[in-house]
Amino acid sequence: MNWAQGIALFIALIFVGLLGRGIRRRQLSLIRGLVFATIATAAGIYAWVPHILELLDRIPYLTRIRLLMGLISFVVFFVTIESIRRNLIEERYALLWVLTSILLLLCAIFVRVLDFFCHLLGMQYVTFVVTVIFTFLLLLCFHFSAEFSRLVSDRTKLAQRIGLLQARVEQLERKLETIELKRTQLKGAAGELDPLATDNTVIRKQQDIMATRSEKLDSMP
Amino acid sequence: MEANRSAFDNSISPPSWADMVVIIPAFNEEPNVGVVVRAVAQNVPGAEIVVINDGSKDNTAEVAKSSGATVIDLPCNVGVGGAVQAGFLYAISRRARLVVRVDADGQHPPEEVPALMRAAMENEEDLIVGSRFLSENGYLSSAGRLAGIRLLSLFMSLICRSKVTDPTSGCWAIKRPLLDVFARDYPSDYPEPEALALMRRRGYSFREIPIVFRPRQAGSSSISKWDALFHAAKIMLSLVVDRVRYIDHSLDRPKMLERMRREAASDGAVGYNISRKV
Repeated sequence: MNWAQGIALFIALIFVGLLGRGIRRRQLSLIRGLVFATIATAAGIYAWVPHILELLDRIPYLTRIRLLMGLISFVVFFVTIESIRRNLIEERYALLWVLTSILLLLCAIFVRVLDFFCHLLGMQYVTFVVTVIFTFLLLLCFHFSAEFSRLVSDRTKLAQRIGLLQARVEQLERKLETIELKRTQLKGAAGELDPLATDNTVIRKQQDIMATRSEKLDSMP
Repeated sequence: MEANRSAFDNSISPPSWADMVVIIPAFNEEPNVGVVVRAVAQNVPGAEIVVINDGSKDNTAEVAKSSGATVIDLPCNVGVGGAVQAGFLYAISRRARLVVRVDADGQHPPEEVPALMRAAMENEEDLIVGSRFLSENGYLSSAGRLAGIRLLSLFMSLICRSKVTDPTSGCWAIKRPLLDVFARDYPSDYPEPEALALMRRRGYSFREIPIVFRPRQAGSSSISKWDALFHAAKIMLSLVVDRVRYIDHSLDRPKMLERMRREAASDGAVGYNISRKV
């Protein structure tokens, strides 16, 4: 056993331990569990059969790329579906990602179909796949830029509306306070006077009426 | 002052300062905003002064409120364009006939506000711009910024087909049909030059009057002097983009005037400021 194998075994044991602890405490998410299990398995296999890399080398490169593509598409698909289930992303954005994963999977499975496009555009299989992915991501980025601009403009409108409404509420509160104040001042004369008057001249007139009335009251025998 | 009042009396309905709103966008201007608000209130007694607090981190809103201004407190920072637009929306809700916009940093001298208003009432242009380069003296700018502004002025004059000497000045008086346009559609990146170019495309006109600027009272400008030229280049780029952008032609001047006339006829409102010659 050489040092590389030793390190691999160590890593495998650590991840098996993490996996075991998570399962025992029931606080391991499915995605994390799968990642741990994959790392532990890969490291374990390497520690057990160190010439696995040479064995892998004998498999044609196209097959390996297809396997990798299949794996990536599976991961993208799985993560997307999980994110939708946990309400992390909305369906309309998720749809793009689901499409990405399906496209990747199709690229991995139907190599012959893609051959047509490869010959048409003069590209190798891998280059073509990368081009497709790149184009797709570019579109996705553009989509996000557009969404972002829309959100910023919406945010500005919301902030403006909130500010205006708050200013209005404060003005109305102040008005209400003055009205309440005047109403208490005019208490006792409610029968014929308007307690809701806000006009200063009207209020002065009312105060005059009250004053003359109290004078009359005073002068009465 | 008294001599100029007679010019007011000739208009459709004589205005008073009470028909006017002074809007002051402020972002982290706690040390300046109180002084500016009080000085403006002294110069235009009766006009409503509105400070738009653009999500400041300091006590801008409280200081403005205690100096007697109406405060529109935006919950987050939306940029000077969005803040000014909030002021326009408020002015329209108060049926203001004229809006003056000054900066909260004290560079626009408050004693010039009546001059702006008078110029707006006496001339038929929709927008009066206070230009620091039309006056003989006063604070101008650092050399780097001056070069940037000169370059931009030349470009703006070509785009607007009308002489612009101070394209980044925010010392404005805006009249009614244009006010409605700005409340609906106001640029956010470089509001002043972009708005000037856009309003020219929609058939509105402006006039520049000399204003003596002062250096900032406290704090520092949002643009450092070193990247003034770069800044000018960015503004020119966005002006070019604005030039090719689709715009809503229902906001063009003749259509807006027609709409305002119809509204004024239908609800008998007096708060509309239609220029005498139109």
